[in-house]
Amino acid sequence: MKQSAVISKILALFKKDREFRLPVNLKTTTRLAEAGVFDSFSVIKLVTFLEKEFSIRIKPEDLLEENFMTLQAIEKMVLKKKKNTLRK
Amino acid sequence: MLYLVHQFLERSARDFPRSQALVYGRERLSYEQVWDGARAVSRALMGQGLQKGDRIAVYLEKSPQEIMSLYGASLAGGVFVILHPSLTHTQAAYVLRQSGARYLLTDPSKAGLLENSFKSLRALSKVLVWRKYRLSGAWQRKALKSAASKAGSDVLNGHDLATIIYTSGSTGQPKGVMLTHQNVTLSAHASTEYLENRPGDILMGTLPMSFDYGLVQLMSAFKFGGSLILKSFLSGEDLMSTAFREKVNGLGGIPTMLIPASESRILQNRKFRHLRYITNSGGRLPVSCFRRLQKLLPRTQIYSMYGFTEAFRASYLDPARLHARPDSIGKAIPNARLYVLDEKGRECRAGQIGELVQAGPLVSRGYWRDPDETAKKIRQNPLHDHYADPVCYSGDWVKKDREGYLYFVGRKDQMIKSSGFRISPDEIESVLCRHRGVQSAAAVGIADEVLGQRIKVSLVMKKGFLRKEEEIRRHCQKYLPAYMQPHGIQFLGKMPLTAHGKIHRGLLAGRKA
Repeated sequence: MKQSAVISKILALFKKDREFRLPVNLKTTTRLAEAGVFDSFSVIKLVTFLEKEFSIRIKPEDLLEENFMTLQAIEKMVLKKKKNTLRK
Repeated sequence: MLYLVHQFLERSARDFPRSQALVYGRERLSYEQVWDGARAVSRALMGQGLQKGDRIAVYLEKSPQEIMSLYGASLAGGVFVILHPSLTHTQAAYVLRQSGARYLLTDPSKAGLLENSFKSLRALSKVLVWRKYRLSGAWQRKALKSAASKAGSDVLNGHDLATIIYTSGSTGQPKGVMLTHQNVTLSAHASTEYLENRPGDILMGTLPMSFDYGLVQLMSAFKFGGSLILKSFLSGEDLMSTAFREKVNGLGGIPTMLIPASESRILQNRKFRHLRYITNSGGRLPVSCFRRLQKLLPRTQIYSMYGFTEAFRASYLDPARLHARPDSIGKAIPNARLYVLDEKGRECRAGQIGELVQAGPLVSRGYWRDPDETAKKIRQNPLHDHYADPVCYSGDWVKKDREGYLYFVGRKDQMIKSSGFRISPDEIESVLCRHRGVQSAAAVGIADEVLGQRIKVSLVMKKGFLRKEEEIRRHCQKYLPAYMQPHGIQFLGKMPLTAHGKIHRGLLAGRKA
C-alpha cells in the first residue's frame, strides 16, 4: 500500500489503540465503518486524534460518510482542512 | 402465496427488473442484478454438493454481496447464518462451530483472519470469497467428495429453516435462534402492512442483517419492491444527511442511532418531505427524544416497536397514540397474539405485571442444538390443551392497561432486587434520561450481602455538562422513591455496547463503582 504521511499516522493510531479493529490487508479504499474498523463511538477518538495531530478543526457536520468512508477520503479531508487553515 | 424468503426477490426481479433494489455508497443495484447475484451464489453452492438444510455462514461487511449471499443460500435450499462483521475471530469461530456451517461465504481479509481455524471446524467443507462481484474458492477440505447436490428451492416448504440468528446475549455464549421461511416471510408481511409500504419506497438500512429488525427491513423492502440503503452508522449527522440526500421514506433505528440523529443539525435546517416514518426498536427511546423528533419532523410518523428474535417481532404502537402513551410498546402486530401471564400461567389483570408470551406463526423453533434452552423458551400455551399451540416466553416483564396497550417493565434476568423490592432498571434509566445533561444511562444490580442487590448507575453526560454526582443524586431524590435511589454512580466516556448496539449490562455489572 502506498502510504502518505497522513495515512501512516492514522494507521499507527489504529495499530496502537485497541478500540480500532485493524483487518488484514487493509487497503486505502476499504470501507472503514463497514469493515468494523471503527464505529460511531471510536470515530470520535479518531476525530480528536486528527484535530490534534494536524491542527485542524472537524465540526459535527463534517462527520459524514464521504469524509470517513476510506483512508483515502480521510486523507483528502485532512489535506483540504490543512490548506484552509494555512490560508487563514 | 409466496412463502419462501427468496421468492420475494424473485418476484420483484420479475415485476420490477430495472428498479433500484440496493444503494451502497455511489453504487446502485437493480432487482435484476441482485437476483443474478443470488443465482450465481446458489449455483456455486449447489456445484459444491450442498444438501438441503446445510448451514451457510455469511461473514461479510454490510454490502450487496452480503445480500446476494443470503438470498443465494436460501435459493439453494440452505440455511443462512449471518455473522456480524465486527465479531472477533474467536466469536466468529464459535458461531461457525456451533452452527455446524458447511460453507462459509466471506471476503479475502476475513478469510485470512480465520484461516488457522478452518481445519479444526469439522463440519466446514468449503470457503468461498467475494472479490468485487466474483465468487471464488479460497479453501476446501482435502477429503471432500463432491456428491451431487440434492437441494434447490423446490425441496423447501414454509416450515423449513431459513436462517439461524445468533443473539448477542450480554452474558455467556450467543444462542442460535432457528427461524423458518414462514417466520421470516410472515413477519415481513406484517411489517409492510402496518407501515403501509408501497413499491418504490426507499428504506434506510443502518441496522445489521444479523439483528432481527434489520433482516425484517430487507425482507420487507424486497417484498414490496422498494429499495434499501446499505450503510453503517457513523454519526447522527451522517445518518440524517444520507436520509435527506437519498429521499428516504422509512428510517428504522435503535436508540443509540436515533438519539444522536434527533440532535443533528441538518434536522433543524432542512425539511424532510420524503420521510414518512421513523421506527424505533431494540430499546426504549427517551420521551424527550420522541418529542424533539415530532417537533422537527411534523409530517413524519414515529413508530415504537418491540420484538424479540425468538418470536420474530411482536408489537408496535400506532403513531396516532404516541402522544397519549409515549412509553407504550403498543399492541400485537398482525400475525402475533400476545398474552401477559403470571407465574402460574394465568392471564394478568390490567395493570398487573407479568411475562409477555407470544403465540402464532411468528414463534421460532427455539435454539439450534440446544433442546434444554428451547424447552424453557418455547412451551405449550398454558391457557388451553385443545391442540398443539407453541408459545414463546419473552423473558420480559410487561403490563397491559385497560385499553390493551402494553408497557415494557424490564428484562426478567435484569430486574434488580434490592431491599425486598423488585426494581426495573428501565424505570430508573428513564428518570435519569430526563436530566438535561444525561446522554445515556444504565442501571444494574450488583450482589450485596445486606440489600440483596445494590443499584449501580452508569452515566454518559452530554458534551459541555460536568460530571456532578451531587446534582444527579438530587435529581433522583426528586423523581424516584427511596428504594430506587442509586447506591453507586459512575461516569463513563461512552457506554459499552454489544455488537447490536444495546447496552452491555454484563460488563457494567462486572465493573466496580
